[in-house]
Amino acid sequence: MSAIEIQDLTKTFGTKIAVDQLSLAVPQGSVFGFLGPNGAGKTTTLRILTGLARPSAGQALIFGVDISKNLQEISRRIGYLPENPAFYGWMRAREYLNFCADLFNLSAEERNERINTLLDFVKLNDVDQQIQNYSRGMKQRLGLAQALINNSDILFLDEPTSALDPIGRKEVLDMIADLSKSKTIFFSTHILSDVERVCDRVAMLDKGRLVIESDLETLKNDYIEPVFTLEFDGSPDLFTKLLAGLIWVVDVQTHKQTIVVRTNDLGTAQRELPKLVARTSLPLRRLEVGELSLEDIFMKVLS
Amino acid sequence: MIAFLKKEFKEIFKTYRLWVIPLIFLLIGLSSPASAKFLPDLLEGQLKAEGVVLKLPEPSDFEAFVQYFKNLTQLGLIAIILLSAGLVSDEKAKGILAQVLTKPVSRPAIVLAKWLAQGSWLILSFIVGALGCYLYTLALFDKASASRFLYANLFYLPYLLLIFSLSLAISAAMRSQMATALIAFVGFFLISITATLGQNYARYSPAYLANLSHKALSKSVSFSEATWPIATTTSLIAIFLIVGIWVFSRQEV
Repeated sequence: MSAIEIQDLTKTFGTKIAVDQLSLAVPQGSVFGFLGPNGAGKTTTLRILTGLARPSAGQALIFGVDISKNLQEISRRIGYLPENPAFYGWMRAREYLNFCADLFNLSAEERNERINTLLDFVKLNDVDQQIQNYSRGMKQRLGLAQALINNSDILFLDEPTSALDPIGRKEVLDMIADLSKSKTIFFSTHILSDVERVCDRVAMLDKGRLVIESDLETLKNDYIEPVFTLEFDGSPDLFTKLLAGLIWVVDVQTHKQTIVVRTNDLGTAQRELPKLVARTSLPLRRLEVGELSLEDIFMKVLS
Repeated sequence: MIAFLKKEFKEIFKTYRLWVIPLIFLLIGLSSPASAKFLPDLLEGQLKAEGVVLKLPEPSDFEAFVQYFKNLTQLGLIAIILLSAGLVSDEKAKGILAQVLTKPVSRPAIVLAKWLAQGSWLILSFIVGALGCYLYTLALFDKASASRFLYANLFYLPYLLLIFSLSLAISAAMRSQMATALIAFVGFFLISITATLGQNYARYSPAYLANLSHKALSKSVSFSEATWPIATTTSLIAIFLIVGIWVFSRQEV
């Protein structure tokens, strides 16, 4: 059984279609990257999956249970970190987690142990100030802790790193990587490097519609298009002229002394490019073979 | 429900609500006898300086108490609307409730916990203000009728709770504190004018309780006269809460 199953999910606001007949399945134990540009419908989908919004059509199932029919049961198995976690500013971290534990009716023993573990995990154990004085990164970490108070099976994370500085981002991503060992994580973002780092499966959304759904490896293999970067000591114009008209060359881009060559035939390019360099007698500083980044794939899929 | 009740009481004790609400009532309670006592003197002095001789009757505890209830209606109820307008709507607007509502919580429990906790604090603050008014009146006028003042307060309290419930219910249904306050003011105005509809209709009006408070200060008022306005006030409190909870329960937050 999938952890999350979405079938023909549609959400409209007046005449605007925010989510358009979305169908996808998230396997248990996966870290699912839910990608899309701003306004693609990611947050709306997450709000439906967490019961905060109702679908206009279609249905969403969590462990086979329809969200719209049994939200109370589902809410015991999920945790949600919104894009901008918000708290009662007058509370302290431990107080807020205690309040959340109250909502789940946790026993005193269970709650103390879990709160201590979580505060330790999100590195807020030594912080004794009101939440209203927290930095953005601290709020994000506390947000993660509150989403874990019930030892949730599924964690919904809405753009958890988008507003953080590089250190805060690394901290949160490390935590997500750690959590991925024991939970299904549904992770919406538009930061592709984050997806490459922690996700094993992705779905891309654009204008409310699913554009692609695949595991990360398959996606990269399907869209693999080797890219060669050659850097010369001096102008590469002569080399560029030699590339013109070759059938295995898809695209050539020149930036000062560097040429980026895209090819549709890796073997031929590997054999022929060094020969062409030798023919020009241009001094070569660097030759690199790379692949399309997820960002390139994303742009390619969306275009 | 218990979790939210605990949270609401903690919030009262840890935020400005702890002292602002009692202070507002206390200020009304203390300023009313003072203005009743000193305003005639000030007026006479002012007019005398302009060459007009005016002899106003000596003020009594009655004027002090009348002034108190006037101020409660003009300032106290407005303060209640402003202080309760954000109770739910502000938490919705800030995204605090969205985070909480993904947990196994009952939406009616959120509203009812706020009504119970904040309502209790309101009643306590009202008592503080009334006590302040009574004791200061006693100090300034050497006499103050405790029983008449007590009856007047007992008639006024349900009316005060009605305005609070109205504001809270609108707050549960709305997303903006400002919009809540504006609609609550309109509601307050509409309820107020029902007391001016003529005796046949006015005696059923919740606002008639304010009239009874005034009346109770000068003569005895039987509780039977208050039965209808108390019944309509209680019913309206229940209706406001039910409608507020109903809208909130169906709302996407």
